[in-house]
Amino acid sequence: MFEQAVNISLKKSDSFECKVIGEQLRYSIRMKQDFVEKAEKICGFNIPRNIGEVESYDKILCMCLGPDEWILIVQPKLKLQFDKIIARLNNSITISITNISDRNIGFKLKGKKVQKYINSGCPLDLALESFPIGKASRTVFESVPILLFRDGKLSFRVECWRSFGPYISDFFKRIADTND
Amino acid sequence: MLLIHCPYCNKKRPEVEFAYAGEAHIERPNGINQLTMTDEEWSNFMFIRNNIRGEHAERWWHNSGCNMFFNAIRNTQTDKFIMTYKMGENLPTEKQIKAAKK
Repeated sequence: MFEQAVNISLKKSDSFECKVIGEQLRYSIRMKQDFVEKAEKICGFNIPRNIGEVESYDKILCMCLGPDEWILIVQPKLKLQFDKIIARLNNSITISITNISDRNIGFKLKGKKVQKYINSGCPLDLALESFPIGKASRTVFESVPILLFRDGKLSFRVECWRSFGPYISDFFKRIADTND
Repeated sequence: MLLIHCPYCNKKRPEVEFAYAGEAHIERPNGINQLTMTDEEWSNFMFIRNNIRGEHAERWWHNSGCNMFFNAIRNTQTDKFIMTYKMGENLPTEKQIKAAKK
């Protein structure tokens, strides 16, 4: 039932495309900046230090949301590997890691009009100078707290709580239907 | 839309991301003081606030952004944010506020 509610069918067009991203591993991480260096060594990848910065790899996405808060999005294939990393992190530094894989749902938005459509519900300035490719931020979209990540000039990734999923996808469907 | 400068993000962000969180620089009495305080003193700490008309030091919360609290000097008449500063920094002096206005 849930899949049906979220997976909306949009008219095929170049101007806008909205797709649900399948199963992902998501972790919410809180730690002091002093521990970042140690955590990097254990994880084996770079952790961004400034708010809004993102380190993206093939299967790993690490976003810095606040001075002491990170979100880690990983392909489910790496579950075993990350179980080990998390156990090691827990043993060696003061850190809080919460698995929020099922709490969130992700959308991939693409197309010529994507910026305009996101701005219809989100007041953030999405010009390339102020929100460059590879930047992420928590913000609000039509009063829903979302996580916005820009992975291309005309390509965004939106993460929100699963319960808001049908509302957000329906919202995009309505904008697309009335604007095209 | 009103834009508010967040000292942690170091950027101007839309006001919908923020929440007001009361007057700033009100120190919570420590544990021992709480035991010896009278009810009147406690209620003063809890509920009595300066309702300033003009430049007001207040707390703001960037709850849909970096999730940090910070302090701001805001004119309650014009709704203009004069300056914002990080938690733990001292109340700006009149000189600093004047400089921020320019």
